[in-house]
Amino acid sequence: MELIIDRLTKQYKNKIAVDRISLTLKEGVYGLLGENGSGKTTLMRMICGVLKPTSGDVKFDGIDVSEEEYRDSLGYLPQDFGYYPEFTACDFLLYMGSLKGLTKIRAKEKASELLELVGLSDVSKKKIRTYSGGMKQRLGIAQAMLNNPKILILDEPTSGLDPKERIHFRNLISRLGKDRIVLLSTHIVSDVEYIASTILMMKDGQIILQGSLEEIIGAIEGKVFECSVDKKTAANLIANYPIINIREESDRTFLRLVADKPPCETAVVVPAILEDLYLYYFNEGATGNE
Amino acid sequence: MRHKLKREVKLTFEAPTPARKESFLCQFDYPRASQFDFIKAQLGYIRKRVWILSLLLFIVTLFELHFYGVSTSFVRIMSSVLPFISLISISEITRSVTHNMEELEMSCKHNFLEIFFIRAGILGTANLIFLLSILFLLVGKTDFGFFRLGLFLTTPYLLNCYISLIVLNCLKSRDVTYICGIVTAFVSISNVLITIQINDIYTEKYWTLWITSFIVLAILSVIELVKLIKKMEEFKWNSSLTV
Repeated sequence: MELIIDRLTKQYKNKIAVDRISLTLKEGVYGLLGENGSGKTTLMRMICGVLKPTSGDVKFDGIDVSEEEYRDSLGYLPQDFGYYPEFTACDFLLYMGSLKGLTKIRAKEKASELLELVGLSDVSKKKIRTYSGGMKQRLGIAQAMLNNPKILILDEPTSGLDPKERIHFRNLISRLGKDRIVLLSTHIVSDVEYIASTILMMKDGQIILQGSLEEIIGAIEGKVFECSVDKKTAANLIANYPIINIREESDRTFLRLVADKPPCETAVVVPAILEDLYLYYFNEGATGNE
Repeated sequence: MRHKLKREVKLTFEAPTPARKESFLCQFDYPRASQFDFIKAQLGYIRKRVWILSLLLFIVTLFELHFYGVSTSFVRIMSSVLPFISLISISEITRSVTHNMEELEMSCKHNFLEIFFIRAGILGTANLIFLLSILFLLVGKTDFGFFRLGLFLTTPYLLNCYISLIVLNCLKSRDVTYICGIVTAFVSISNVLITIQINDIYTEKYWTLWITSFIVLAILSVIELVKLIKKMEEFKWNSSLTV
């Protein structure tokens, strides 16, 4: 099972949204991290065959993205999806099941199983328009899994979910990644940290970092410092170093920052986490002399 | 004896929980729906209002025929109502776009373009059957022949199709259905007003105008339909949305 993305590019007039991305994805959970406008959604849409690439190929086990057979292996949760207003959750899943080529009986069985899995069994006969954002998101995840896809693309799957639901889905996605390719994008760094076997970090349409959590965190390991300093020193450090966190205390300021060597006498090195790396790369306001 | 032994073993030992049940079941391909099943399913998803409006018009025609006979006014009313049949069909065809379902549908095995063709095919056939049924019911009950009656009834319908197709081809808004609704109302009201203002519009005097209008509108509608299909093919690959 192999999804090959070869020099995939999408250009909109003067803007290159995705810039010659090449990746080979195998079974596992891949977390796509990046700020708004970094090209995550465009990349995902091209992988799903929803958007035509300007150049490059996407192939799954040799099957091109434009073929029906490819779509038959795909489950996709878009960032923002609609539904026919008269549909109940059950109707919606049966409709999507029919588009995915399931027989009516199979679609019914699968819909009932997935509604149970995402905790919507009790409200399966209610109109979707009465659902909360989190419930709609759960329904979206259920429809993506209807055809038991080999490739599962989830664009912001945990947005709108409360912390309990997020944990539930993190576990679910982890399980799903055992025997299929799961690519998910999110702004919630901790989601990726917990479930992704490989992290892909996107910036300006390119993959700037790729690897396991340990591998990519290695880039700033030993460079994350915490210190509690007076206001004047704090102002000086903020101006000169990439700042990850600022917390105002009574007469001092607590800082978490990235530096090659201790930025002040009281600074102590702390273990780096993915959020440090993310903020280091994406916090434009926090670029100092590093 | 063997059955008894099996039962005893079952009772004595607890069965282990299945390991890798899910991946084992994944090895087997489940029965897939055929193309015919898919078309049947799509037929079921066409909203009832399409069939109800057609049926209602059919019943009204039967009622009129039975109790009053067919007058010129009835032909006028019928030709002004028929554009609404095309409006309902258009709203059905553009339903995916109106309700932001196109991105999900594009990623499915039977994708957006296929759904578009199947819906358009079903509704086009239904409209044709309906128009022919009305024609066969009315013909012989009026002074107009089959073809002339056909022209009077279908020309406003075609005009509405043509303008609505232009709207669909030119506008990207999700509100195209509402704009098509305004177009339909305009066509319908114009048809009533024109046919009332020009008393002899259904006479020999305007025969050439009717034929010319019908042929021109039919050709223009086909051209716009081809443009729409090309747009949908592009749409299939280009969901449009933002970067």
